[in-house]
Amino acid sequence: MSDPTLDTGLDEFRRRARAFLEAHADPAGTERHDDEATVVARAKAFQGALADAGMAAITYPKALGGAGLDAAHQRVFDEESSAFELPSRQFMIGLGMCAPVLLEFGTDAQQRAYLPGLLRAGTVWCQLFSEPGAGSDVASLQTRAERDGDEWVVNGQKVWTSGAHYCDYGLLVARTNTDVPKHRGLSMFVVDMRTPGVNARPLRQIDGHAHFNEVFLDDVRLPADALVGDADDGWRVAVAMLANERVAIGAGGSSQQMGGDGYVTLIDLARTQRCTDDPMVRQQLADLYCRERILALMGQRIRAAFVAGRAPGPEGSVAKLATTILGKRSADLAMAMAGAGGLAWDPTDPSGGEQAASLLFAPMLGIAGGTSEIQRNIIGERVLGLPKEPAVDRDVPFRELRVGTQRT
Amino acid sequence: MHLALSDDQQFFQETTRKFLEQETPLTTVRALADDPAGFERAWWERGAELGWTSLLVPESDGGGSLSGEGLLDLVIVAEEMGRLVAPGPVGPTNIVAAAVAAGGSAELRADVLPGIVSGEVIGAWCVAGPGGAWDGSGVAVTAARDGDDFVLDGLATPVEAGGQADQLLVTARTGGITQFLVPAGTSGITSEPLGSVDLVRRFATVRFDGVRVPAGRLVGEVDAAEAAVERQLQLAIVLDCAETVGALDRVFEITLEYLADRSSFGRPLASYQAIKHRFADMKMWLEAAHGVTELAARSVHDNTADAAEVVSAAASYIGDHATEIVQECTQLHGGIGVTWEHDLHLYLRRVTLDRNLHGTPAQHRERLAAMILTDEQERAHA
Repeated sequence: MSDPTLDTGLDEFRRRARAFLEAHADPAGTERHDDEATVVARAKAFQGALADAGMAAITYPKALGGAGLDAAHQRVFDEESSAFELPSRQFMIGLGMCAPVLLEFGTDAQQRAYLPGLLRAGTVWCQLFSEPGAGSDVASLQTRAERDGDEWVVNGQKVWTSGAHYCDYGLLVARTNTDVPKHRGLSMFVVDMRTPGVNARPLRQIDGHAHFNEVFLDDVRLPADALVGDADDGWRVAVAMLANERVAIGAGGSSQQMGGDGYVTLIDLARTQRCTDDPMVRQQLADLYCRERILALMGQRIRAAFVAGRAPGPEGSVAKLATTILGKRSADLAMAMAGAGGLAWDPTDPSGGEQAASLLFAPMLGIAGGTSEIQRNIIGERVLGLPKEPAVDRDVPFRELRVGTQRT
Repeated sequence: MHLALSDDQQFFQETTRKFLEQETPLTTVRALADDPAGFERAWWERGAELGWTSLLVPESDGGGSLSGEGLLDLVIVAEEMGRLVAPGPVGPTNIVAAAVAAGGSAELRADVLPGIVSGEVIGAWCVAGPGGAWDGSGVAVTAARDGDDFVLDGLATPVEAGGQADQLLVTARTGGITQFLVPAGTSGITSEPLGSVDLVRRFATVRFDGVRVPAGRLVGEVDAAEAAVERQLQLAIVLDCAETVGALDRVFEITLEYLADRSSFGRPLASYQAIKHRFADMKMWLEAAHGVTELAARSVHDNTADAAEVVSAAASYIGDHATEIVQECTQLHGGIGVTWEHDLHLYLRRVTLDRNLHGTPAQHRERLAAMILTDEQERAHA
């Protein structure tokens, strides 16, 4: 721990951070049930105030809208913010993924043009990677960007884009060369979401909600300086962006609470359904309790590693897998206990349909943010160091590749 | 269990591992399978010199630990013993030591604890009854007052190290539950060895026939042993979990190595996705097992309000997943994994033992269900 007599700067910063958070953020664990517009507005207000207080984007240069401080200050801020719910978590993609990419790969002009607004959430950013034909194998994406004089013309479709309908900008990966293997023909672009030809449409999930969007790109014209990094070098930029996602998740503050006390809800349901004496139900409730406590432990270990400045290790990868398994078990048990009441309910009952909602949401847990199969690949290959599969597509020119859904 | 070992604890871990690797490598463990005691006393006394039997004994009674957190250090020992499927009565002796330190009179402590700490005295805990109830509910030894003495009758089974112990911690019925520390050589005590799934851990049925025990051998108050029994159980389970986790780490290592070396259809087995995915699942369970063992150890050490819940959570989760992991790893080895000569079955035997020794996973879940349903009832009425 630092010697207080040497670190009055850090102590003062800690006091300021804590005072700000107490004034502007809810304590950890507070739940709000606002609509999306309210959530976004709150997030913008928070981040703007944070920037005005000189604590947004702590390690970014002041000239670009950051606080111009160092990793030690970042650590202090992360420690303090772990006791609060940060409204700006809504903008994790922009703040945690797009901003670092612009800082690392953007030109001076791009950084000056975009970072100040992004870092104070004056502008909000989304990520345009996945496509209907390219999810887990995102490098096989097909959205094309073709050079036409001073511009790029983009055609294609992106999917599962969070926040596209309220975002101002997006970072897009598109194919700029089909003669080389898939990884080597991609480029990253800044897209102003108001550009003609960009159309975001809500994507409806099986549970009826629409948190995501499809984004259609029809002859979208981008200026030459929309290119981030070099042409055909976009995969490297994309990989860096995805790597930042892990760090961003680690910095998510206590709203990243994993595990917890969902079992309490299930106990209430068991009481209502009068099955608390059923040995099978008791076994499953206890099992759920165990898994939730273990998941909470994993969450703590991730946060501890992050705050100590260590890159997240296997904890992050296994935690996602464990979260998925717990979520599915929990939803199954709830529906099993609810019986007929889980299938049909009084439409005026505010908690009616809860079990159905959980059950219909559960399949998404193992797909969104990296499928369970991809998580297992990551754990096996990157964490455990096991040999990769033979790759049949690594050296094949993209135009010869079988991608997405094709009929032979 | 690796979040934050201090330098001292790290050194302790390394020393323990080296000692076991030198003194009881797996070849020695296999040889000890034919030994009636399953371990050598001289080896045990050297282990005691390393601290194996002093960690749960206060300094004022001649014990002590490196870190000042004796249970956490003992958990390191247990993990290392799991890693090498070591022999010896580490669990029983330490439980007896902790019980006597907590509940014995000054005279009893002075009589027994120095011998335990030096390794001359081995302990065993007689609590289970026929049917194997391990939580004090199946006690089949009665203790009747007779003047200043108590007379013990009945039997305890299975008792780990029951045939090797010098001092027996006996949990008995006296109306309520009462504990005594009884020298194993006391007239009226007999023991019969039992077969065991483990190659070197020994169990016995211990019978008490009119065994006279002076009141000075009481451990705690008469009819008031429930809390002590619960604490002893929690200690035992934490050690079982730590040993299991150590065993699983080693099995996982062995299996990863083998599958990287072994090739089939032109490439290493470890390059097949179906196999990588099973490793990934096992890695997840292992991380969880480490985490919950550490939490259980700290909770028991700090005697937190939810220690009982955490311990049962650890026992049930680890119990279920441990045998699954070792069985998966055996499967992944193919034919060689089911030979006597391969080491895997030593680990399968040990984790199977630890899984049921102090309650099955299902029994622990039932315990947990009772606790969390009561908590919720209290919360709802708060």
